[in-house]
Amino acid sequence: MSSTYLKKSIVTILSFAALGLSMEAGALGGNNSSTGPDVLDPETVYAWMLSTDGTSAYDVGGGYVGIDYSVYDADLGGGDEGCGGGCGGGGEEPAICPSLRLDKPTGCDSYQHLFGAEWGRSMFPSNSGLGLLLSLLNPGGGTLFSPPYNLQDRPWNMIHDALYRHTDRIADLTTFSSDANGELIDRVLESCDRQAQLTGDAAACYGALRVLVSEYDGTSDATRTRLENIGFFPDFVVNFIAPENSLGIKHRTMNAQAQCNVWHQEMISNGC
Amino acid sequence: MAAKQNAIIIGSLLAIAVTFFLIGKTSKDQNAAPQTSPTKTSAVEGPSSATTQSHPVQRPAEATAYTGPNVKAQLFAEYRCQKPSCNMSPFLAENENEAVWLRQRGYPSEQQREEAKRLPTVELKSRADKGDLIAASLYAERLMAEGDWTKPYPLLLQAANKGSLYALYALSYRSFNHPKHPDYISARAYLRLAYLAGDYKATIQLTQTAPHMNGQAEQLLIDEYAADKYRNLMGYHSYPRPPSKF
Repeated sequence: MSSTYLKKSIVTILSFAALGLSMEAGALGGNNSSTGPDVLDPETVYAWMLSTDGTSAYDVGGGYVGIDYSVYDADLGGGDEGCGGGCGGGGEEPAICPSLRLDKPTGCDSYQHLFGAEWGRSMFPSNSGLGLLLSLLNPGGGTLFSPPYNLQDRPWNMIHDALYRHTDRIADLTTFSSDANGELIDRVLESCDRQAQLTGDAAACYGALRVLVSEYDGTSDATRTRLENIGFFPDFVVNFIAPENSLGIKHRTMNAQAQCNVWHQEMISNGC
Repeated sequence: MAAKQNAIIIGSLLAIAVTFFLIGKTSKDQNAAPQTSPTKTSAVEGPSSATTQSHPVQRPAEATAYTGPNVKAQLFAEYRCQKPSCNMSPFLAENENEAVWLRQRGYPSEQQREEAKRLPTVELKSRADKGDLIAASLYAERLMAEGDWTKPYPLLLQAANKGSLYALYALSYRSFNHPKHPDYISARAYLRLAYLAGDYKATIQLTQTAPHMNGQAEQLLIDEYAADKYRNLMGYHSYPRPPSKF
């Protein structure tokens, strides 16, 4: 009896001792740092941090460069980090998905293609700059001008193209909004001038432009002078964040949706 | 008598086993402690919060306490600005407390970058997987340098969520330079977020990143997005950077 007890005690104690030794070995083994052929050039990777123009110093390249990414792919479905109760069952999503959801923009419901001259029409007040411009393009859709004001084909196309391009530029997250707004105003002025040449009646067009300029305080001096000379320079300013400012509405809503689209693309790219 | 001998044997073995156990534990603890020698600093440093945080929205684990005059002095030596031109760099320290903060908040020192340069990508990934915030950012930057702009995104978000403010700089860099969908608004918003989360020097980088995106419309969006991320990504946690003058 005592012999059996002695044997069991010795086995237990030796296991305990082995545990202590294995911890030591693990600790020592985990400290080795192997070196390899991959070389990271800090001068290129970190050059942006100290640059003055925010530009990247290194070539982005078009794809993977001789790296076996199956190593990483194998890990995407495993690991114990980030699941947070969100993983489980068959067809489980990658463990990284909860991390991606942390960066989901508020109010981001679904992907939405951002294009077209009339994008956001229902959001613009009818007497706002963009609301009036769009009513010029589509009088049947409701207009302040009565009877319906008919643009000639050429100025109609010019305004339509200007709005189409404005949408494209606002949706581009690298474009400065002032550049897009300034370009729109200049092109609408050109369109109104063409309408005046063709019909001699461009009051509605200039009237819409007048409101548009009131919503954008960065209008160029040349355009301001021109509007003053023809009696359509606005004597009022619509604050950019006011609910009546259609340019502000378009910029905020479209930018938010563009951010949302990028986030959805990231989710898809990461398999979430 | 036999029972007494057995008791003596068991007692002796128990003492030996406890000694071995303590040796192993002490050795492991020493490995986990911050490196005190700049020449032996590993990219695997700082708090290992991978095991303490199973869900990304939980409060990040408290950073390892880098106490003691020697440790702080060594860290300062690692992060110290050596040139007059780098005095206000967000990645360098002007005093010991700032150096400790940089280490705790996931900012790699030049020494760690040099070490990472010599490591294969797989090794860097392994260290990141163990919860090393600095290794996570260096690994993400390695991937981007190799042309992979997809995987770094969740890696950096996770690091930021665990308290790495440096990961926000890397996220900003990624947004700015993304080859398919560059986003200057987000590039600035991540830096604004770094400021909100405690790094007042992030404004220096903010002024240099897409400086033309500084109109009223852009500023409103940047602040709005930064506030959004401060709530969702950082859980309103703030890690004030020590003032540089003290």
